Amino acid sequence: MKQHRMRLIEQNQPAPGIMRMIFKAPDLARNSRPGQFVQIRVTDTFDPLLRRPFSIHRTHSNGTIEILYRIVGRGTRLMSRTRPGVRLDGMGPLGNPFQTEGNFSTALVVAGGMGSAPAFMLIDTLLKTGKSIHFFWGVRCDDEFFHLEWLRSSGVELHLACERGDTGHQGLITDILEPMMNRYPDSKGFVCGPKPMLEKMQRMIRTFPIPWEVSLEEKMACGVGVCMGCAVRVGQKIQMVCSDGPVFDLREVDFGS
Amino acid sequence: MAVDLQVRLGSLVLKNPVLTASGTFGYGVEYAGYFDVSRLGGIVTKTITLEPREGNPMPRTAETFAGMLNSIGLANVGADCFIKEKLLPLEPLDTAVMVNIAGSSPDEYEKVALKVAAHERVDALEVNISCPNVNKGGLAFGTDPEITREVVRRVRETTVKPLIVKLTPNVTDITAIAQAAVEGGADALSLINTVLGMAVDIETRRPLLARHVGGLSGPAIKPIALAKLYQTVRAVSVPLIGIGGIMTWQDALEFIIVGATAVQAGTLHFVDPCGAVKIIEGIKTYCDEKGIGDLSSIRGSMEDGGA
Repeated sequence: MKQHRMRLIEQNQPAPGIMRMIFKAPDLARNSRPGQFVQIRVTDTFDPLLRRPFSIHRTHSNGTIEILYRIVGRGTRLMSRTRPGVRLDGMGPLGNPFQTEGNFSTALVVAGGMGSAPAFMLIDTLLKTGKSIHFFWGVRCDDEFFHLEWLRSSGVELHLACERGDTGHQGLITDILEPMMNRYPDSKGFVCGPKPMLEKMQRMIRTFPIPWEVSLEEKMACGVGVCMGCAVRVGQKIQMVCSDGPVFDLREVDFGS
Repeated sequence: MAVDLQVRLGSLVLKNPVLTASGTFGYGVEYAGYFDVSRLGGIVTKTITLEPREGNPMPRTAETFAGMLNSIGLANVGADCFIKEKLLPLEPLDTAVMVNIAGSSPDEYEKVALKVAAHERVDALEVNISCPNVNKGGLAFGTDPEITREVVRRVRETTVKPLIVKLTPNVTDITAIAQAAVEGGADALSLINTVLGMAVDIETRRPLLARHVGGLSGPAIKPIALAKLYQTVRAVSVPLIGIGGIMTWQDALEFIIVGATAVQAGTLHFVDPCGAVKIIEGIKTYCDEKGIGDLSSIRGSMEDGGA
């Protein structure tokens, strides 16, 4: 059974404009891997109709899972008003996870904006493998950073960029990543974030021969590969972001521009 | 005594009247991890065409009030791959398998029907002459009684298995198309396919679908579906399968009371993968509570006058 009655434990804002929900959902927490997602039904009625997909932000051994979201429409507005104790229907874990095993010594984790949602679970998992982790995190405004102290104390090398603010580089995260990339030949890259950033990353890594995995975001209806709504061209084939991804080889994704 | 939910579509006997609508249940096993698919009266597969199809450009779905638009464009693996790879997993299921087919010409309908219907696991064909998201075939055929009759006649010649023809609501008079399909040899009709619809982003001033218009499904279209069913019940005598925004057992019963022999749940699967089974359970409970021993006794039992 992959459908869960997830009990909301807590809802808070780790940073302005970013909402975090913490659910008790032991099966889901135990079985989720970084990069996978959960399809949440935001209401018991049929309007808004469709589930919303959310990357799994973190899981904990006490059977809780966290998701992050921004309030962007009717569905997320309803979610933001959900009170602790309420149970939401979640399908998951869905999709294919990042491959964190392998013969690389350094992980380059690159996140832009809400790409931080899957990045944290990825970092949690990588920390257990003993690999060294460089986290390149770019946001619009520097008040969107959170958990920086925890990241530093965990031994993660932080590289920050914001378009507005005083924390880290003033500009795009790709600005600081590009000149640094060749320092880590024995590494593997993981990237999640907005499409323009992913396209830029794809151009940047042409001359940097390490494997790069990307987690794509797309609007979805079913989340399990039946409606064929979230198509993307990867390599020569049409793939579904929900069931063939959301993690793909960054070099193979056709961003259609 | 438990209610008898068994229904007949031509020569095909279904253990209950709840089916899955094409395009919302994949090739039949994608939801197997969520519930026992054998509990369904039957499954209707994604539309199969002669050649594989990639489908339309993205974006091809959009949510609207109590509904969704889609313009998938009949993306599918093609008849040969379907027969080779997708039918085998359906073998152990104790439920009827109906394969939805489409083509861009009457000739192509005939060819794909010939390939698919010959397979033992295929219990019936559903002929899609109502997809709003392709340039050739689909809606263009299902809005013309002459072409409807021709396509159905060509498919009819390929098989003795039950033939269901799926109708579009995007016509002035659905009964004319329904009669043409029956004249062509349809054993049953299913209705409605999606309603032509559109939505626009006022910030970018672009339509939400890359192909601009698409098919509206979900609760928003249920009243339209009921009215089309109501009209069609009076025009033909073959069994009818009600489709359109069925989300609950109460919705399903409305269609049955108006005259549907069976129903298909579609968009419901995206909202609640186990929703179709809940419909079956709900119908059972309703019948038990009302002392209804045979579901067919309430089929078409709608009284005159307003409630």
